[in-house]
Amino acid sequence: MDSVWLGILTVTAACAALSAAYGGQGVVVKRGAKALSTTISTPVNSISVQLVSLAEGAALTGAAGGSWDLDLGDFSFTAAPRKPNVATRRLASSLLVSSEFGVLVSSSATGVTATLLALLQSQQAKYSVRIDGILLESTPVPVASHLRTGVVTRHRIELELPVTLTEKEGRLSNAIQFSVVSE
Amino acid sequence: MIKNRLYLAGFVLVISTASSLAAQTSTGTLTVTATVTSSINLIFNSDASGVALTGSGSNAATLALGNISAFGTLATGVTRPTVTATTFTVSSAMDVNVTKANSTSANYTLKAQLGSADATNSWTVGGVAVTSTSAATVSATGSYATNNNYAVGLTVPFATATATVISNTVNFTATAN
Repeated sequence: MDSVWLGILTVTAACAALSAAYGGQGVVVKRGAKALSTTISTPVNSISVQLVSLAEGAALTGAAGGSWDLDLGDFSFTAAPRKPNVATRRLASSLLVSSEFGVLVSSSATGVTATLLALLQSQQAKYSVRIDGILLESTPVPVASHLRTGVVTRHRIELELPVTLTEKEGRLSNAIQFSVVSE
Repeated sequence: MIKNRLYLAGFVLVISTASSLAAQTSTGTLTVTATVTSSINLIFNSDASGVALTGSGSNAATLALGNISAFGTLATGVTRPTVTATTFTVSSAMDVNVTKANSTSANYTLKAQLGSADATNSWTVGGVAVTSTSAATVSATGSYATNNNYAVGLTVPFATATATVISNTVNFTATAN
C-alpha cells in the first residue's frame, strides 16, 4: 500500500513542473490493489499578467496585489506636459494625452498565447480612455491578442479630454482592469 | 498491465492540463491619474479690412504698414483717420482671437504694451493709448473664440524725416476673468 510518485519520464516531468508551481499536487498511484487505482489531482494551471514601465513611457508605480498606478501629471491645452514621456496632442476641441506601458504575460506552460482585455471601472461621459486606439467601456473589450508569454509587449494609453472639461472636473482618476485569457 | 495503466494515467493528466489552460485568466488593475488645468490661447488674425499680417494665426505676427505719409497714397488696408496741423495718424485693423480650454471663465481682459519706448511717435490699440511704461487695458470683457477687431494706430509728427523707419513691438496679454 505504498504510495509512489509516477516514474514515467514525460508525465512526471510535467507533473513536477505543475507541482512546483501549484502547491505540490501531483499524481499518486496506489500499488497492490486488484485494479490499479489512480488518483489525479488536477493541477490548477495559471496565467498571470503584469504591467511594466517602459523607458519611453511614464513610470508605473505600485504592483502590490496586481495593482499599478500611472500618474500622467498636470497638463493643459496650451502647455507642454510636465511629466517625462507623457505626450499631448491638440485636436480642434479636445486634447489627447498619451503614454506607453508594457504588458508581460506569464504562464507555467509553454507555447501559450493570450488575449488582453481591458475595461474602465468607472465609465465617464466627460472624457474617454483608449488602449492602443480601442475605446474602453465598462465591459471588457479585447485590446490585443496573440500575446506570447514571457514577452513584454508595448501598449499606448490615451486620454481624450474635451476643452469643455472644466478645471473643477480636472482631477481625473480612474482604474483600468486588465485581464488576460489564454487562447 | 500496470505499466500500461500508468501510461494511461499520464495521458489523462496531459489532457486535463490542456483543458485547464484554455480557461485561464488573470487580472491586473491600472489606476490612472491626471490633472487638467485650464488655459487660454491668444492668436492674431488678419482682418479683412486691414493689412494682411505676416504670421497670421499665430501669437507672433507682423503688421507692415508700408510707406506712410500725411498726404500720399497708402498701402491697401491702411487708413489715415486724422491729419492735424503737426501730425498724421495711420491705422490698420487686425484681429485678436483668444480661445479657452477647460475653463469656466466668461471673458478675458486684454492689455497691450509697447516693447520699447517711443518718444517721437504715439501708438494706440483699439483707440487706447499704448506706451512702454505699463500695460494698457484694451478690453476688459473680451469674448472668447471670436475675432475681435482692433485698430493699431500710429501717429507720426510732420517733423519726422523722410525714409525714417518706424518699428516697435506691441505685447498683448490676455487674462481670463
